[in-house]
Amino acid sequence: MSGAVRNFRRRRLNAEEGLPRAQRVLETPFEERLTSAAELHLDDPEMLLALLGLLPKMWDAAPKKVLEEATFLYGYLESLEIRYPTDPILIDEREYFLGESARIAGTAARFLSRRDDARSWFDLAEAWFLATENAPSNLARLGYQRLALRLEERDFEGVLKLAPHLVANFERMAMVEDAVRARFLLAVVLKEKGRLPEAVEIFEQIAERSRAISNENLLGWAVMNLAQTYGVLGDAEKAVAAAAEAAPLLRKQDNHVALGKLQAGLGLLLRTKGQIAGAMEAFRNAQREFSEIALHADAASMHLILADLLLDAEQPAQAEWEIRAALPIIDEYKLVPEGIAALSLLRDSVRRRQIDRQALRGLHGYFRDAGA
Amino acid sequence: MLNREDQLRSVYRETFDLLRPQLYQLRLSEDELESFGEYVYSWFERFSRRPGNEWMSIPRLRVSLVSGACTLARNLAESKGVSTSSFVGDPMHLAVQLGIISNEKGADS
Repeated sequence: MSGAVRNFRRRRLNAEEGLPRAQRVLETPFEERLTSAAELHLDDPEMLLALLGLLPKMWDAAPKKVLEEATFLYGYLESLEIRYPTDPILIDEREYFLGESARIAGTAARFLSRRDDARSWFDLAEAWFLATENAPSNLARLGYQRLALRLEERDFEGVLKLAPHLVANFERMAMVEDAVRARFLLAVVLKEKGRLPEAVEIFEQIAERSRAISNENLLGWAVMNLAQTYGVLGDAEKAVAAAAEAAPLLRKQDNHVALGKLQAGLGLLLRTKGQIAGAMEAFRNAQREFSEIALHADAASMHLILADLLLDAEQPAQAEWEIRAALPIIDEYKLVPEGIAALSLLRDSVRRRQIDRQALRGLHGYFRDAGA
Repeated sequence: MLNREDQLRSVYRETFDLLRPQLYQLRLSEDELESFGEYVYSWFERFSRRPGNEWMSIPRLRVSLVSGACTLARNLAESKGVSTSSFVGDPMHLAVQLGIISNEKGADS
């Protein structure tokens, strides 16, 4: 690394330049990026670090876009040959950026209910993270995503067994935000298992810790979950208060996923109170939020819940329409591996134009954590 | 009380001074040594900003600093065609040898 060699090194970005350059990359169409790679500083670690920090902030609002971005980045980094000492990427950065791109792609795929894709991305992320410095920290963050996927597949016992270890590992490594995030897994499992007061307690703790570390994203999720859980408990006053706190936070972050879930929670509460028209409106709002960002599984669950409500309202033709809209999505995304019998019964009943109510309810039970 | 950036510089300087005698095996000029130090520091500073690391105390990241410096030293040795035994083993052993971490911690990890 002589002085002469030093002079040949391309100019590197400093920490302040990383973020504006990352935003510029996001504004550049994919097809133009490779031809302008040098100008965009596509292989500069400051730009890459900033870009990989931006993508997770977008996945609640635009998971499809995040998946496309992370896939592009992964492909670009994989083809990159690092020439030492002329290139700006150093030491373990290529492995780290590849692992992080794969983790982000897997997370976005998980949001989009592309679960097999998510698993493949997570396997790739693991392979790269093993070759990074401080690998336990990267692998623990990946472990969170894998457990979240298991939660969506309703492996509650597995998550209940493993989540406390994940929380303890994050706490031991002083990974404060990740420890708070991992507590969600526990709270959601408890909620799903009907242990609602315990779930409320953990969501309250999460909200308190999120306030302490000024993380509005985690706070929004915690308060949204509190609104939902109070709703299931039938405590309308607390549910409405929590929803009123959550909604502006979520809107500010453009968090369509949580806004959809908040609406779905409100729908459930109104349904419990016998306010069918209001409930239907809330579920349709939820469906709009989910559809806007291509969350097909969640949108399908709203179709099924609406069908159930429409049957209550003695509107079987509209109910059938809702079910017919949901079935192809359930098939395409293989959404209910455990509920295949209920799915088959429901499909038969629609064919006979005599909706099997038990099968319908059984099926949307499998979506419970997705929608409400 | 030092802020995070000052802590980062302090841990880096302390560690780099301990590594310096090993780096002489690479037959580096002062200019090359300075340049090597700049690269290691810029990597370490970015490393401390990775998600998950940003909340960790800087002394906790010291072993990664030694390990990262060893990787870069190996790359440098290769590019100069110099063979060296100092940077090929487990960086943890080097960290213990240099007194950067205690024997017990090294054995634990």
